[in-house]
Amino acid sequence: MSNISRRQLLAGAAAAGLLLPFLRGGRRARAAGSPQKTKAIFVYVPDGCIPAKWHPIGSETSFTLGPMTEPLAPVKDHLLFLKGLDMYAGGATHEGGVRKVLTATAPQSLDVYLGEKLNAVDQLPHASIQLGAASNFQNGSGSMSFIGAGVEVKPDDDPVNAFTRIFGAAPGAGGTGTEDTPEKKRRRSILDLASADITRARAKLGAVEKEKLDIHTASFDEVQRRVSGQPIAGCTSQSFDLRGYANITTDYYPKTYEKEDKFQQVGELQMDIAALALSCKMTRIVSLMWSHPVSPTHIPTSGAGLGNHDASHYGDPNSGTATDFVSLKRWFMERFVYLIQKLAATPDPDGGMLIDNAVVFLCSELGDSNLHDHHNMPFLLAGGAAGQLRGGRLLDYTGQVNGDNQPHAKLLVSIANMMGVPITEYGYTGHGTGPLPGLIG
Amino acid sequence: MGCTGIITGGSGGDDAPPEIVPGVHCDDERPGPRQLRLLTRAEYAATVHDLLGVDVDTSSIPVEPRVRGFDNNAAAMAVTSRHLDAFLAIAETTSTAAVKDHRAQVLHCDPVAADCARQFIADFGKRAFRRPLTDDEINGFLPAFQGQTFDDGMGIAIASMMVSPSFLYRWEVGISAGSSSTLTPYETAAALSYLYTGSMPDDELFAAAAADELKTPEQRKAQARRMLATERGHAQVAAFVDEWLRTDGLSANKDAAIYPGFTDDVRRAMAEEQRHFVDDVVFAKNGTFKDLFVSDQVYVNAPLAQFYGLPAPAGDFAPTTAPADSGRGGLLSLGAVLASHAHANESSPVKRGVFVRGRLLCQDLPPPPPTLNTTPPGLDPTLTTRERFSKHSSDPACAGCHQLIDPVGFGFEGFDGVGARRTIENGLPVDMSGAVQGLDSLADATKVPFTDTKGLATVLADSESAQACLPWQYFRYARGYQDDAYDACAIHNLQLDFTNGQLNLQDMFVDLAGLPTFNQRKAI
Repeated sequence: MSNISRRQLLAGAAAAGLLLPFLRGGRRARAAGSPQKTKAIFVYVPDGCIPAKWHPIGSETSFTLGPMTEPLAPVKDHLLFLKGLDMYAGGATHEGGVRKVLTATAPQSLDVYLGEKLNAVDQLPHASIQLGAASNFQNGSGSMSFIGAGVEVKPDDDPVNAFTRIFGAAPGAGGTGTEDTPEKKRRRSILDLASADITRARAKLGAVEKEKLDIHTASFDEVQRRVSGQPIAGCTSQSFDLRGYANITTDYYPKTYEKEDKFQQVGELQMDIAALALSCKMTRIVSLMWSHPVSPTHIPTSGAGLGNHDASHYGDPNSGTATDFVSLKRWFMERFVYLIQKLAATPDPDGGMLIDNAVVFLCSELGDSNLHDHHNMPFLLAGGAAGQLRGGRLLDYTGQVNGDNQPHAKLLVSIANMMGVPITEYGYTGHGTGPLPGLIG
Repeated sequence: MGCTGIITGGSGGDDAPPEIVPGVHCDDERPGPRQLRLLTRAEYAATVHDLLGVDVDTSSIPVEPRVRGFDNNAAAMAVTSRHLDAFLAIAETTSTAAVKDHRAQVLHCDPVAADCARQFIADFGKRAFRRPLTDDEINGFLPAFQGQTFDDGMGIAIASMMVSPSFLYRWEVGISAGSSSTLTPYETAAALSYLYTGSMPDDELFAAAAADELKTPEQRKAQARRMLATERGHAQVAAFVDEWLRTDGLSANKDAAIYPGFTDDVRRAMAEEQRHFVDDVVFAKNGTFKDLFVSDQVYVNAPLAQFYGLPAPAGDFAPTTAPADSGRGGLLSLGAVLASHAHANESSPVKRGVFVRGRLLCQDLPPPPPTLNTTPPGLDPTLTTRERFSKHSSDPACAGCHQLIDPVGFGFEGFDGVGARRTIENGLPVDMSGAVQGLDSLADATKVPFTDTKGLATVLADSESAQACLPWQYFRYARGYQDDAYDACAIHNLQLDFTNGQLNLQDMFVDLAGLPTFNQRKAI
């Protein structure tokens, strides 16, 4: 067992306690919007950033994007850039970062938590959906979604499988999706018998592994409800275009959807599926992981020769390695533009376009990739959150809590509040509770 | 040890942990937690194969999270709706295929007979649930046949059982009596079969359970030895070693410009090399712990021989003596080990050092401080890797931990980032010498030196902590939970028996089944 002492406390962590935090805007926003229409999307890109090249510079409404964020210019009016947010407590580096980016050390990640909370009322076919592009392939660091403390929800990296389970039939399988087929009848019989068996098992076990079986039962109930539910007209498997993508059954390691030359196509299909699922009211919560921490992914079309993680150890900010890292990050931002434009072009079932009612959270598990720290995270929000967010802004939370940066836990609270869940804390509370000041409204 | 947020699920306890006296058998083994263990994808596929004769594709089932390198931690796995969607879809197609193509395997009565539906549910259910069904359960599945043809009813019954918690989880719950629970004979059978064959119990094990002949350590060890000798038993050992050494999923993501020779054929051959090596040492040679480390045999095919710069073998992966100057032979020179613990574009003394400490010595080191710049020194064409990493030892902020890591990892520098041999790096001769500090205790400043990889292998093979680490890792793999201080007695006994048994590997694997706590769990 190791007795080596570890981290050093941050200098000045408890310093200057007399300074009042500077509250931007000064008001605790009470949403003028319609939380019940909101949808939330969580997008992860790997391995942090070069802070000086990511964060925009300027005032709240007049700012210049950095080299890493410059590709976001076409959709700038939909975006809120966030500076000065730290992830406190929890574990260090890649593994610790990905574990807390959506949890702030709470047992559940925000996407799963919101899914459970909202779907208890909404009763949509899926509480939340976790998608990925090569997010599990050679992932030794972990994922960002958790259904319970330490219990991950692994994203689905296969767009064909993801579509099939979300919509109940393979893309292009045909039919309107509304008929009661013999397959569906059989499925319901199977689930009825299995449901009775779960009840018997729970009775037998009593308190033993109750939490595990609670999760099992909730998952089962969702599946069963989906099978009995009414499909939505207009959202049928025929209307989804795979754009020539197909899984090749002889691809074993890596699988087709894990191959580097399919990375962009798979990611775009997943974004298409996300937009379709939201517009068809299959769910209100989607998360998407592009690869994973310590990402081995090479993206030659970005102009970078190094894999993402290798490039993220950028060393000197003017080095060739740093140039590669900037190229890769720009590539990911171009994909994010694709998502925003897709959301802007997809009708929302509650009126307007998806982007009007969505809150999109773009995140990564590290701040400065050299330092492997969790300071001044490369976070931003997108979307109108049904009248609760105004885009085209740069918000700076640096040093607002007695000289420390605001905790990202408050951002998670803000997102929950925008979704209509009135919590005042989520996970870490060491630097205060409540939502981020000046964010909503 | 820096593992925040992970469910521990260890034995735990309110009283004091057991006391260990070195060299003395401990009489205070504490039972582990009662748990439901979700079948891993590999276990699920093997079980469906054995149960129904159908081979299924498990790629739609979510990947298992890894805890301490192992994919079967019970507390880390929960059945999400995505799991159930996958299990349900597989159950639907498999049940249809089984009734159509393997009817004789699942049905043993004539459907014309009045009682056949009930008989089928009882018989098939016993194998599916790995225990006899209760009357309530049999009655509960009978409605499958209502309004259906017999075959359709069979299919529905099979599918619904395949999504039942009694099929999907391995139950380690037992019957409570006083301060502990004892696993039922059928739970014990499944615990044995999944550990030693990765699948459901076979007929012989079912019969032993029915006759309550899995109670004693000797009975369990006899079954373990029997299963270990099968093809599945060999494959299970190989699977454990893959996870122990973290060589499963050997990275295909190497920089092709720097390592053009690292082809798919070579990568696959390295996985085979490891399998054949382990199989030869454990089974053909009935070997010891030292035989894993100290060996002059290589197990290669033609592509791998060429990659290593060795003469082509007479037969694929047959053991042949390696040339003395090749540096090959033994676990530390396996291509899979060397390439798995390296970067995409270079070797990594840090990764290899951490591998030795964590996987081979069971010494988990904490991660670097959160504010420290951990960028590796850039590739420098004028320096060797050792020279580039020298800051780890010269900078006091780094040296505290890195003096435990780098000098160990330098012992592998005779092999590059994809496991190929090198004696020169950037025109400079490679220096493979190093030292292991804190070999038996991290606090001990003594350094044990070595001059090359084989020297390091000997140091490890002879060290008490490496000899104690393998049984410890196997314990974790077998028990499926993160051990804590309360498991120390059982682990100590396993380690002591290993030492007293001249470090024979098969005996160690078998001895796990003989632990008194194998079939004991906490009362609550």
